[in-house]
Amino acid sequence: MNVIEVQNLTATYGLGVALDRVSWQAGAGEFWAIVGPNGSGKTTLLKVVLGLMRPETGRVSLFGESPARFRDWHRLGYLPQFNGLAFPRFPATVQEVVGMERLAGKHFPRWMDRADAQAISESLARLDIANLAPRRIGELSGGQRQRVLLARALVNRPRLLLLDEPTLALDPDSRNAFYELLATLNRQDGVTVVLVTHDSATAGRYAGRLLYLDRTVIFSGSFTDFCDSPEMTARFGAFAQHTICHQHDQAGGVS
Amino acid sequence: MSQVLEALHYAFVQRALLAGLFIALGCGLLGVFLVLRRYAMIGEGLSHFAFATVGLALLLGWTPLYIALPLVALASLVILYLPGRAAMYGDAAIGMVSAVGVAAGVLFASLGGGFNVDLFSFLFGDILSVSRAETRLAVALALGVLALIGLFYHELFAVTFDEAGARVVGIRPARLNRLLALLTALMVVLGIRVVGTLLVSSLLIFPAVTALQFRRSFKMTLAVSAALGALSVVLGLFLSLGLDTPAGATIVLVNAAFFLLAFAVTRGRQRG
Repeated sequence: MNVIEVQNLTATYGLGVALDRVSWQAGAGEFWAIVGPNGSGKTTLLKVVLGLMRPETGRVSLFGESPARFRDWHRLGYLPQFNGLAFPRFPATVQEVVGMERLAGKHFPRWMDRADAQAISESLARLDIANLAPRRIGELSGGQRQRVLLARALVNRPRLLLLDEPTLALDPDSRNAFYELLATLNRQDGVTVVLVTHDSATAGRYAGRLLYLDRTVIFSGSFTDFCDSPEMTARFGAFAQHTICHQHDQAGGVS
Repeated sequence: MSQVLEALHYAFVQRALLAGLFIALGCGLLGVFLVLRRYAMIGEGLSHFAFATVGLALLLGWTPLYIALPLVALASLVILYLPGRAAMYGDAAIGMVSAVGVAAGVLFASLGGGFNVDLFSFLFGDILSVSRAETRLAVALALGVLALIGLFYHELFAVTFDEAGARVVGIRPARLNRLLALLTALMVVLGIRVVGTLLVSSLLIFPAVTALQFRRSFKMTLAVSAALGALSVVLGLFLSLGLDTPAGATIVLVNAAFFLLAFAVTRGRQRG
């Protein structure tokens, strides 16, 4: 079953076209890396899939439902692009921020109970940041904040993770640990992962599938197909293609 | 001091305290959401619009509260509606509603002629003249606001912290924005009797920004803001009775003093 289906999608910002007739499917349990240059529509694609932005034309489905009708929000976790906090002095603790995600799937009145507190503690412990629970989000470093937001995305043990440039604020060690965690979630728990990144070499190491966007789909498929494609070699050059494919082969990634 | 304690025996002082306390509690809670969502000036715009509704009510010889409540609520929805439909940001919509309110208020005052003294009491507030019915209504409506904030607390927190993130957990921010705007309209109209249309937005802004200086959790910030709002009404009322100063203005200046104190203390701690 496809977790995400996008058909013939066109999205615009004002007069500019962000996505032009994009079609793409992500199946359950797959690990996708979405790569492409700046302004290629990667973030826009995630926003449209999540219903945060309306497309001009085309059809989107999330677990078989259109984003407007979708109600099972607890089945997905979303980590938005890191851009700091709109208000760094925002008076919210890590526990309150992670707890926000527990509202998914609750009905009115959306009150918290012990199970929610337990889930928040477990998610923080999983990312090794249980000690940050009472701290204010604004006091934390960029890397710590990003881990908190990942803990928020994981708190409901989602079946689909959508991550937009999640490692921008992380140091190399944290970045590797972060990717390992994603790989574990994907391989052991069968979580579908969709990762928007500029770091295509690292993505090649962990992801099994690649969507290359440049407002329209340049490539969509397995890394093996990408690496064997003369068309892609002609487009990107042998060196760039080799860099990505080498990482993928070294990691023994499954396509 | 004895004069102030003696004043507590008067029913009109008790009513002023009771109404003022509940209105300040509601404004204190609501203010945190408004300030953090950068809607702080909506209170200012609505209070100026309320001036027109009071003028209209006095012109027609009706009770101002009953005219102001629905019309100010409607104005709050217009402020939300315009930025999404017309080419403008929210601050421009607030400015327009505010200007229309003042202009219409002046027009009604000019047409009415004889009710300028009454209008003056709405401009600057007259908490000591709050009637029994007004007190009951203020307490009931303020309790309603507190209950709604309690019921929607987690949703309101979510849209305040991260609107896009809130949508991805199934919350519809537009509905909560309407709720916030309507509750603000309600508190503005109630607050007019406490400090007047010119100063009512201070009941929403001051306790919230003072509480934000302490940098605590969201829940604690709400509690501190509500407590500061209530304390400023009590202290302001007592000071105005003791010093024979206008109650509304004194309450606002007490609020300002709390802010300066909190700012100085927290800055001092940071440097120390």
